[in-house]
Amino acid sequence: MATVARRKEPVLLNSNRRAALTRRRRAISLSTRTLIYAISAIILIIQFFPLIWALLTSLMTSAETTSTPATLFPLHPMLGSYFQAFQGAIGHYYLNSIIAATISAALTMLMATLAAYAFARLRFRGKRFLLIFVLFFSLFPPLVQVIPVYQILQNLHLIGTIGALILPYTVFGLPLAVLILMAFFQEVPGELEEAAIVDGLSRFTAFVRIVLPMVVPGLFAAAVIVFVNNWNEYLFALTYTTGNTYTLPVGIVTISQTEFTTNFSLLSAATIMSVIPLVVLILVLERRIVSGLTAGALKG
Amino acid sequence: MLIRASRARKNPIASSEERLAWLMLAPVLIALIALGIYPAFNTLWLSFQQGGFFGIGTTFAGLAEYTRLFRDSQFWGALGFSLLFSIITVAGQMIFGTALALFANLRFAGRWLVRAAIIFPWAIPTSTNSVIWAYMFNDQYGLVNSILIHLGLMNPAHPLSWLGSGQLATALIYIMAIWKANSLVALLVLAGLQSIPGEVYEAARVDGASPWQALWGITLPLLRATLVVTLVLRTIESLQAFDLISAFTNGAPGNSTQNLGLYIYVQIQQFGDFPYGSAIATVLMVITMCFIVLYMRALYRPAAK
Repeated sequence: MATVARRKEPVLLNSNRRAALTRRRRAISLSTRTLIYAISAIILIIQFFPLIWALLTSLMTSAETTSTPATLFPLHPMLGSYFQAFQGAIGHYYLNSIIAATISAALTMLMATLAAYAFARLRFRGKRFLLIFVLFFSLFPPLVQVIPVYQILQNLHLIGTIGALILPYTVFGLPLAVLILMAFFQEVPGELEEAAIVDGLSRFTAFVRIVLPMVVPGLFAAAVIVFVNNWNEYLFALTYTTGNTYTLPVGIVTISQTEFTTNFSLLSAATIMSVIPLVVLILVLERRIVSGLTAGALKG
Repeated sequence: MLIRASRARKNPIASSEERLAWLMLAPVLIALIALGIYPAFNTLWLSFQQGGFFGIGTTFAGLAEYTRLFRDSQFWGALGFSLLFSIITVAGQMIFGTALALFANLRFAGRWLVRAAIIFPWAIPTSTNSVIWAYMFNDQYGLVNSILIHLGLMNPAHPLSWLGSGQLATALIYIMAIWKANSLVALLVLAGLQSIPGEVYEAARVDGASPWQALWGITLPLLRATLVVTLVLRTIESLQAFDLISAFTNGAPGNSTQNLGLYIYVQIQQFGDFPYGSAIATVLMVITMCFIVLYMRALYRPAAK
């Protein structure tokens, strides 16, 4: 209705201006398209460079991986390293990594979202102190935490189980997740929430129904970060797991490195296999990260 | 209602808000206290001890391990490396990561590929990634020297030992660290960009603002919270860096690429000197805290209370 009313007089002017704008935009896109694709190509090369090298290395024989000067392309590409990785129980490590990373990321996100909202939007005494208190736990290097945490896990009889990873991953992911989510909550304009409360929603309902949908991109970004951190964690996994509960980062090293030598082909194959699930995850979530806001706005 | 209102010290809305806040904070606080408080205070407590072997048989020594730090030139070298590493790589990550995000936010066909590519460096496990980089820059069978030889830029008889030179190795560590964590900055900034309504830019364009002016006048100020948080996260992680360097140079050549993380590892895992390692970790904690306070003071002004 509003559009009908607006259309009456300035339709000519409007369409003229719009045409001029699109013309200008099209002209810009024509002149800069090459530039955009050139930059894209450079970005892709830089981002993928070591991974392409890993892919080539994974197809080489072990003689080729240690020739001087280095073989650039495998002359007799072979998938042997991938089979070897499977024989080295990489499937098992996958499962452990998926369980540990997924469960702890979900728990971290659940707890951190609540706390981040409180920090970003609610008024309470001692906020600054509590925020520093939460951050404090991320300030000690994991190297000095490994042993005391081991003692706790041992008392809980968790060493050697996957719970020995889920518990510390969940807890030590919290400061990071709270901080990230807090930033996203702060960027949501306050008026929407206030309007919802005036309309009779409780503060918590307004949080769930109004604010949360607006930070969906941030939620996904934070979830990806927390998940990947868990997926790639090395030090705790090395200390708290046994052969049965090895995760991928530990498993990769275990199957491809002995004390003095590294099987680069196997290492590369295993690395590529460990990155693949993340690629799938990111490709699925990428759309959510980017379209989250509009989806939320439509729902609300 | 009336009774409850009069009982509350301020107004009832404020007190119910405070109650809700505590309820929402409770899971995080309980979890952190349950698992985090013991390791944290264990580290602090150990740093006032002395001697022992792998934490057994330490005796109270006051500030002895802290005064020992002052006379330890290896500690100062590692501290210098850590500070420079943090400042340079975090600056690089913030600049390149933000640029990447802004680029990936443009509208063009195939940008999904760029967006997916953004995350890759960071998706590879840090330690494995460092092994691959060390392999690429290996003087004998590394990719980089091989390419240079094939291009005729290098004499095969005299390959360049990239990791044999302290300065080259340091430069490569900077490059690798920036390359690896651009992703995280870009991912967060990209997510932050999605919450800026397009109308803001329309309005700016109508007002005749150039894209460059829009970037500095609109985009970056609106992203302030995200940028500050990212800066803080990167700073914490860069100061604690360990996997990245240990699997790449392990501090070599000499101790020229040894940072505080590696030095703590040497003290704790190799010498079994828990008190000294804990003292270094505590100093690292205090330094990190200073950086965070500095960054937050300088950059962080909550937009709305």
